[in-house]
Amino acid sequence: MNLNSYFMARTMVINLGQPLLYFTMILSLVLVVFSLYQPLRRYSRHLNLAIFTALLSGFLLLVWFHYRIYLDLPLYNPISGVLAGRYAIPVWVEDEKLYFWTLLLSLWLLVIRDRDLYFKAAVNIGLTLFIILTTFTSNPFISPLPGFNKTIIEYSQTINAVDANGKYQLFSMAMGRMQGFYNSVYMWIHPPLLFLAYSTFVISFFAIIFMLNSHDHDLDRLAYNWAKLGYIVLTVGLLLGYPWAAEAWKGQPWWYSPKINVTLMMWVLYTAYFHSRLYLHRKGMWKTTGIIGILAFTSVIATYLSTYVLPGIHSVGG
Amino acid sequence: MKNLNFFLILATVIILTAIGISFFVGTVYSSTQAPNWTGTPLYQTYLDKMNVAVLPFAVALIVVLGICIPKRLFKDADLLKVNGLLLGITFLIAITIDAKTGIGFLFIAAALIQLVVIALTFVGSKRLSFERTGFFLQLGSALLHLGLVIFFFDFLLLADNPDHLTVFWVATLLIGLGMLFSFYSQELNHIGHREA
Repeated sequence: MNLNSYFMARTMVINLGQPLLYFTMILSLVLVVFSLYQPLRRYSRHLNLAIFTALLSGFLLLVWFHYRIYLDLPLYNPISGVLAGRYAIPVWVEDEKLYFWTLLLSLWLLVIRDRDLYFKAAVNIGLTLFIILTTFTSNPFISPLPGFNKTIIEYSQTINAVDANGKYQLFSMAMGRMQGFYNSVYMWIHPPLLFLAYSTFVISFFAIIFMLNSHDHDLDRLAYNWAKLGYIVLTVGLLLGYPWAAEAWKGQPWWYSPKINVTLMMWVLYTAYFHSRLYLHRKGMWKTTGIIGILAFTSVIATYLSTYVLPGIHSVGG
Repeated sequence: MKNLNFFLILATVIILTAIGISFFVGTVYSSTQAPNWTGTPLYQTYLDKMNVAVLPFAVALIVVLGICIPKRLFKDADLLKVNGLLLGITFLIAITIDAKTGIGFLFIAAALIQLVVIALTFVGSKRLSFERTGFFLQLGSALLHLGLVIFFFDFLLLADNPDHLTVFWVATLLIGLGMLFSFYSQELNHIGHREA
């Protein structure tokens, strides 16, 4: 393991990423002003592009950091000295999740047409809120991959201080974590699909709020178009997660765990939204559909937060 | 017929929302328990309670799905007869053998009807009844519902079977394709130069 090179890369990510994220936050605050102040509104598109570019730059920085981990931290069998594997960590673990979600949201804002300026302004404010939350609650540049970093430091400190049996035990644990979690194909596919879905649901949510208020069919269509994209991706993402969960958590109590419950709640509520929308023209169904759509999005937020605040097999916080 | 369609959709929405609320209650309950409670007998009690809470809605959803599928093929009095017959046989099997086998029969019947619906969609039959028209939309809806029937069947009856995952992947493929076709039917009609 080339720990020095790893630490240098980590420091560089902190030194470059932190100011970049604060700069992005300032841009997003300017975007709020531009979105609300009509004479400046037509320039907000340029700011959307600038914010996306800044977020993408930060993301590429994280990609580079993960690549450095791949190169600098090979895992050797301590008994035979043979290379056992390299960490191929996806760029949406630990504190990178909310950043990835925000990046996708900023991308969608580039493709939303300026047809309804109040709607676009609202989504821009939503994006700003996401950036502020990322900066202050889930900043991936303050301490990049804190959990992984702690594990690596502990491993490198203890591996040479124990006997051969202890070495092999530590190595087996590290190898299990590498193969079963970090390098798992599932980790590369399941989470990004879910965050892709979540990001489209944000736009759908804002369109539903405006649709309820204005009775505008275009906004209903907009809400539906973004929700259906998210729903396909969400469903496929959840289904792809099942075989992995059944194998990885065999014998462990994961069914009806809090995270599974809220995830299923989210899926059934979006399913209810699509069914309800089939009869939108019927009396009372416009409001019913809108309310179910809002409840469904509330469950998206609950699903994301549940990983951090609720106990269970999916939990990283409790 | 239009009212029946509407009430079936409304029933689906209510059942799905009720399932959602059950999951929410389960989440609140389980998150207030002591750490590592999953290793205690309390966890099994919670699983049993969740099953009791969700099962009636799940059965209701399955029954609605079982009714929704024949409505593509049959109308009015015929639909009532077919549904009556299917639910009657399901009930009979449930009380003479067991509930699982009864629901399994309903799923197999629904899957067979759905296969006929798919075949008729391909040949452009006019006797099919859908909320909306269009080749890809109807094909998508049929594939999606067939996928869901297979998915539920797999989880209910094949959970411990060696082919469980194979059937799961078939259901996943059908659900994925079904959603793609029904949600993007207009775009696909345009690409395939088909009349919507």
